[in-house]
Amino acid sequence: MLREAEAGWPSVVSTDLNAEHVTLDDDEIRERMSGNLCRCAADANIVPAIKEVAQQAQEPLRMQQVGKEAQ
Amino acid sequence: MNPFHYERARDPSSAVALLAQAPNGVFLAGGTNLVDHLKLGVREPDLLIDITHPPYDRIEPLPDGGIRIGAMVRNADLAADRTIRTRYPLLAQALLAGASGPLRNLATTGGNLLQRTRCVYF
Repeated sequence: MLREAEAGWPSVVSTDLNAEHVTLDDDEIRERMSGNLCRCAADANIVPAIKEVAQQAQEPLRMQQVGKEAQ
Repeated sequence: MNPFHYERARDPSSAVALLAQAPNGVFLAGGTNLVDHLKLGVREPDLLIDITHPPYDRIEPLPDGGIRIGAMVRNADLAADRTIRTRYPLLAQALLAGASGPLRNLATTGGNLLQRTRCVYF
């Protein structure tokens, strides 16, 4: 799911189908995780947890880009 | 669920040949519609012919300005395709409004058009 967002794949709640970058806000995360969640879907911490992981996943990427720019 | 046989077709002609030998056989692609029917007893095939191996999984712009969508293109891939998103946004949005990510990853364009109602009262 994170890779799809990273690749710019839209979801039904995306306002711009052709946006280069998808911002994973609460609506995007809920839509993209629907169908993946079962009994634990009511756990309010799922969305913040995914947000945290998504940000962590972007950090090393951003560091690499900054590193490249510095070179 | 009734027992059934499973065969994987190598190419389109072998898929047709397999079906010709098994009048009660059905083609299986994503299975998102068919498997529901098997569970409900709506369909009771004795042979499932897997047709995900042959081609028809491409999205090709045509010289006349149209586009050819292969029957084996997955709903998720079709909705994410850049040409579809740019030139046929309604199609992309309609696909994204249907089912969920896990199902769209399996469901195919051909199967989508061939869907049969799964209402239990049918």
